[in-house]
Amino acid sequence: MIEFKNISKVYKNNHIALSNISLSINKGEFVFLVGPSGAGKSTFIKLLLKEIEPTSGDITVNGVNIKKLKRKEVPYYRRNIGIVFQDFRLLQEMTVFENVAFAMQVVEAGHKDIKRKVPQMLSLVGLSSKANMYPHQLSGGEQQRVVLARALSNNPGILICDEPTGNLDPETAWGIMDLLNDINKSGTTILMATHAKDIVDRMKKRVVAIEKGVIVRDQQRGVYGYED
Amino acid sequence: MKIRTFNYFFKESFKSIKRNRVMSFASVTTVAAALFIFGVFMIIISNVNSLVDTVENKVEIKAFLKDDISSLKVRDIEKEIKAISGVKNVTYESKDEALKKVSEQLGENKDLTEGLEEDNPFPASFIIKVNKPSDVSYVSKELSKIQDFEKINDAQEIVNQIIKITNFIKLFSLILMIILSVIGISLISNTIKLTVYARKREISIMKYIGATDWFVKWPFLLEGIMLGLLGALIAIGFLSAGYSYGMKMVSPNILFFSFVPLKTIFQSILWQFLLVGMFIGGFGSLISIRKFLVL
Ligand SMILES: Nc1ncnc2c1ncn2[C@@H]1O[C@H](COP(=O)(O)OP(=O)(O)O)[C@@H](O)[C@H]1O
Ligand SMILES: [Mg+2]
Repeated sequence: MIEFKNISKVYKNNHIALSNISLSINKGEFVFLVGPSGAGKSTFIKLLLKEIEPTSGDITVNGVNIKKLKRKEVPYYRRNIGIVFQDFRLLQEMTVFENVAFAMQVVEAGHKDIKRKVPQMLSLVGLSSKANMYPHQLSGGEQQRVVLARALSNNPGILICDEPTGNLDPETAWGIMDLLNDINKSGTTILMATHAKDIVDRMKKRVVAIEKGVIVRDQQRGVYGYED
Repeated sequence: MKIRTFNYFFKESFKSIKRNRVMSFASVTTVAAALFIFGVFMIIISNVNSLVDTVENKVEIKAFLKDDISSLKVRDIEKEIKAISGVKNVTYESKDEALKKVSEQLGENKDLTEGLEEDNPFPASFIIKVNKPSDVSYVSKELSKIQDFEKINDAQEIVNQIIKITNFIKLFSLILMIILSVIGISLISNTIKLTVYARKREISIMKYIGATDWFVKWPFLLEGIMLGLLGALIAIGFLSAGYSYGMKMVSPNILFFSFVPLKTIFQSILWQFLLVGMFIGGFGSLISIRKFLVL
């Protein structure tokens, strides 16, 4: 489903963020992307989102080489990818309901679809009772649940999470992980960049470890493997 | 485009206009001023044009005879004039009639002409009316071929003078409008720039979610267009009110000329102004979209 072939990324300041990475992820997999800060995890994710272009190599998603996507096609490509960030990125002046509805509006979903789908999503993440609250009235964990609801509202085949638990206390983080596990079980491919050792070790999923831009380990039912 | 999407664009644009009240106000005012000034000159020009028409329609040619022409010769000349194509009718005015006319025009001071009967200085003349204003120059030329005229007067010169002045007014107002439009465009572009910065976060989120470029751009374009349109509407409002007030004040004092009616003016400027307003607004926002909206 996702295939990185000999991908290198050299930033403008000649910093080599990724060097000759090849990796393939199948549909329905749950993959942890681990490694110390600065290893190249976010670069990997940005390449997958076509936010930046690789210096060399090809990325194929669902059989499409994304290097060949025209500018006009990129938005439609991105609609198949849900994204969750460490810093939530919710719109503060919108309620929980509106934040999720906004994501559907942006892809020009119908009025009826939005009215039907948003409550479903909020119920999935357990926030039905907080639909009319604003982000600043919610805890970090609750905000991240809203982000998840937003990311999933357009039924993406792939969910990408860049350190989704980075700003959460361990207990709240586990709540999010349970949710991600459920989402994965319902068929969504998940790629999660993290350096949360506990979580990786206990989830027993596939672990891809990056160090200084190189994949040093790719292990099914793996562990974090670093001493932070 | 879905109606709901369009509603969203409108809501976003209104929100931004409210958020950037001060800049929005400055932009709208400038656009309104540009169009108002242009409108004032357009009104002047259209009235001058109508004045030119009035003058041209009243055009008659006056051909003054040399002093020593016999009355027999006069009849021959009259026949000759009537033969020129474009001539509607010809009236002869003798030296005596000319003197009488002048003394009538002098009114209270008519005694100035007393005693002139002996040695009448006013020449006899033919007053020639033509079919259409455009016949004037041809008829004038033909008349000048007749040797017996001292001088031929037609209104061509006045008309030419008026046309010259109108052209100057046109050029002047065009330049002024262009300058003000450029200021308007730059103010609108600055307003949109503020909106771009205010919505930076929202836009980056939209892009991640999969918004198309145009979905992101539309609200900005719409905001600029609305500012431009608002300026145009204000200009039209002030012009209409000002013109009808001005006509009321001035009309009773001028008898020979009637103003171009407000409705005629309104019909010709309404669409032009709305289009120009939209153009200024749209162009201003496109500049900022290109320069500051990183997608
Ligand atoms: N836009 C950029 N320009 C230059 N260097 C960058 C840029 N983005 C990231 N880097 C560098 O590339 C390396 C990998 O960064 P990143 O992918 O963000 O790592 P991670 O997410 O694993 O912490 C880091 O050393 C970082 O400083
Ligand atoms: Mg990172």
